[in-house]
Amino acid sequence: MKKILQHLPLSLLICLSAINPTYLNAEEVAAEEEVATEEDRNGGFLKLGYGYKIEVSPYENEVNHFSMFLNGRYQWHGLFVEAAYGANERNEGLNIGYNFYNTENWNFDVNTINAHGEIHVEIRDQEKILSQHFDNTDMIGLRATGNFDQTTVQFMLAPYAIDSDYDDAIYASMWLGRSWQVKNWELHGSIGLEYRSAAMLDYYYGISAEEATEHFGPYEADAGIDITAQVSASYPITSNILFETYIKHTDFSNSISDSPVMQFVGGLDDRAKARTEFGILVNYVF
Amino acid sequence: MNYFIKSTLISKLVAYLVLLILGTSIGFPSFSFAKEVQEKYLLIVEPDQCVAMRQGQLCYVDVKISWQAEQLDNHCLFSSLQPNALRCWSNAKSGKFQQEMSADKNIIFSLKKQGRSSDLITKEIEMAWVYDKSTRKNISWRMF
Repeated sequence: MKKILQHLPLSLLICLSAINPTYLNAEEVAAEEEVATEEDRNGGFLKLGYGYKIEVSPYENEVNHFSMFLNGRYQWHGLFVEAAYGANERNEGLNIGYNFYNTENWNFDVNTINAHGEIHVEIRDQEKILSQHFDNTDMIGLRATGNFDQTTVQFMLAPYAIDSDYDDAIYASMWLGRSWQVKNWELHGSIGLEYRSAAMLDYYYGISAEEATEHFGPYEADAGIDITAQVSASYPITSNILFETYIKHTDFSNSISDSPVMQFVGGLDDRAKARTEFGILVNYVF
Repeated sequence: MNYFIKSTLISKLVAYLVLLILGTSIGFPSFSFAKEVQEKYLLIVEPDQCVAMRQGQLCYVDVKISWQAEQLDNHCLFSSLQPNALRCWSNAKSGKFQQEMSADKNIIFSLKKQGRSSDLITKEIEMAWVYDKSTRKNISWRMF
């Protein structure tokens, strides 16, 4: 009995410590949170923006108006969906994938990618019309993303096209990005190389002898690499509202820019041989 | 007999008086003290929140503080970021302070009488962020 009474205060203290979480010290709480964060990759973010966008490119007339922007990603037990429309150097639209392996710094995914957009050409040249309409090419590939402090690298190889009208489509990309914190501003710079196989570029930019007109002669496109660079600055106004501004430039491969159609449209008013985009917007982050 | 009744009555009165004194000295002082602090001191800290891009990042904030007391005294302003006083005022009942600070945790400011350890009044700047630490692990490329 005496022994029990001797241990009673200690037992009560232990019970109280177990019931009341405030008895845990800060380090213990932080350690528990860290473990949960490492193990649980479920979740994501959604960023909806509205702002002003200026874009010149060979593909469409100059964009110069207010625009919506959407970027987001959500992962659930490895399965993920990504949306990138607007202020993101990738601007790849909607992709789905599976995150199958992770290390401390690397994420490995198998995912879809929009390797090339839709092209619609209708040019009257003398008495003949050059008419070409090609759907976009969606592909499946392997992707490795490495995060090292403020630096991110990403490699992707997509050898399989989904429902394409041509064979031997290959898309590969390599991106390098880095962030800098200047007070509460986040500055970001990135550069990317995108490779597209000869079969893919010839499908979109080649002109067969039958299609050729007087000024748009036969053209066979080779493989090529586009180079994209972007710098951006973001500032958190509140924990949900983010100010952002960016400028992005893409220099197309010679294989694309040397094509008769691209040479022609690149010289039109309101268009350019390269793609340059500027945006200033306010985002709501959910 | 009368003496016995009187003596019982007196002892009861003494007992009630002791209980009353004990009650007022044990039960009520914390309330009267809190009321006294609220009435005597005013501490205004602006802004009340600092927003960083990511959880755990240093958040930079230009802090503006003003305080007032009802009586002249030697007062010191402290923050949870450092053990030393940010500034002390001699024989003053008001003061202003401004400084840029950076922190990754909430900053607590307190006004104390010089040489005393107890806080007269405290105010806090809360740290906030757009993206949780875990969000970075979930992204495949970048999130902004």
